[in-house]
Amino acid sequence: MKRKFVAARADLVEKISELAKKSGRTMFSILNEALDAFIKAKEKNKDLYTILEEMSVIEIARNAGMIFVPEAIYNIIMENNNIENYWKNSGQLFGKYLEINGFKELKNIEKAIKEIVGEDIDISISSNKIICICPRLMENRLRDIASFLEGVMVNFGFNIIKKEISKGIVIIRMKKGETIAREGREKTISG
Amino acid sequence: MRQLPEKVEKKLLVVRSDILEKLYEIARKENKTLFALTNEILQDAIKVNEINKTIGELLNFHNLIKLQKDSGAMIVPSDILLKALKNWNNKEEMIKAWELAGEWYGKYLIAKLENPLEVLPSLFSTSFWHLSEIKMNMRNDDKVIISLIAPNTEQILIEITVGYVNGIMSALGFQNTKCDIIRGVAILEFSKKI
Repeated sequence: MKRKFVAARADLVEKISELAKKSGRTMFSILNEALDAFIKAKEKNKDLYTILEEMSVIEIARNAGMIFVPEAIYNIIMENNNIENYWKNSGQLFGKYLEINGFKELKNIEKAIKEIVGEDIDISISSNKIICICPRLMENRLRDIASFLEGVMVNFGFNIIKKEISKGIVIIRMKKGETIAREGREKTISG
Repeated sequence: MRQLPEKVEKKLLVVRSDILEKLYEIARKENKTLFALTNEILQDAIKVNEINKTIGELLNFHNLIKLQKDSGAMIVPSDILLKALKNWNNKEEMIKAWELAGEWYGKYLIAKLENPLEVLPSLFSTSFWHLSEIKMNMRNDDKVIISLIAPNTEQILIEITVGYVNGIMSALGFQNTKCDIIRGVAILEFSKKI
C-alpha cells in the first residue's frame, strides 16, 4: 500500500493523536478512516456535518420514545385507529426533546421534522405558517403529520390559528406567544 | 499598513495514497486547498468523537438508517403503536401481519445488499429502538441464534419483533426451529431451509 504525506493544522493533528492514544489505534488508521468516510459521504452528495446533524435528530427521536414501523403495518394501524391526537402529544414531546438539544431556530426545527416524517415531504416553516406538500400521501397520514407539526410548534410557543388539510397539502397558520381561543377555528377541507 | 495573517503551525500526516488522490480531486472541484479540506475533515472527526463514535461508525449508522427509511419504514411514537397493537382484536392475525412485513423486508434486503445476513446484526441494533440488546450468532453458516433483550419493554413489542424477525429470516432462507419468549427476552433459533 503506497503512502503519502498531507499537511494539516498542528493543533488538530495533536487532538487526533490524543484520540488515537485513547482508543488504542494508530493515527494512520484513524486518519484514513476519516478521509475515506468523507469521500464516501461526498459520493452521496452529503457532507459529514449534515450526516452528524441528521443522526443527532435520529438519536433525539429514539430518546423521545419513537420507533420504526414498516409501512404495511402503519397502513393497517391507520385504518383501524383514530390516533390523530396521539400524534399531537407526540409532536409536543419531540419538540421538547429538540429544545433540550439546542434546536431553536425555525430552519433547524424544519430540518429535524423532515428527518422524522420523511425527506420526500416538502415542509417549510416560517414565523407565521407551515406549508407541507406531498401529493402522494394518503389523507390519514397527512392528518397525522399535521397534528405532529402542530404539537412541535405548540411546544415552541406558537398558537395554532387555522389548520387546513386538502389533498396532498397542509397549511397551518400560527402566531407566536399570544393566547388565542382555538375552539372552532380549525378548518379541515377534505380533498 | 496591511497586517500579515498569523502563521499557522502545520504538521505532516501519513495517509494512503489512493485516498489522498481522491481527496485532492474533491479539493480541486470545490476550489479549496488540500490543506483546508484536510483540516475540515479532521475537525469533523473530532466533533464526531465527542459523541463517542468514529466517522466510520457514524457513516455506517447513517447508511443503515437510510436503508430502513428507503424501505418505507416510518418513525412513529411507540405509544401510538402500542395503542394500536392493544386494539388489534386477533393476536394471531397481528403477529402474522408482522411476519409478512418482515418477509417483505427480507426480500428488500436481498435486493439491496450483497450479503444481507452479514449486515443483519448492525441493522437490527440500528432499527429496533425498543430493544436494549440484540445478539446474533452464526454457527456453520446454517444455524443462527438471535437473542432479543428488552426487560423494560412491553411484552407485546417483543412478540411482534419476533414475528418480524421470523419473517426476515424466512425470506433469507432460514426456518425457525426454536422460539423461547419469556418476559423481556426472546431467544430464536433458525436453521437453513433444505
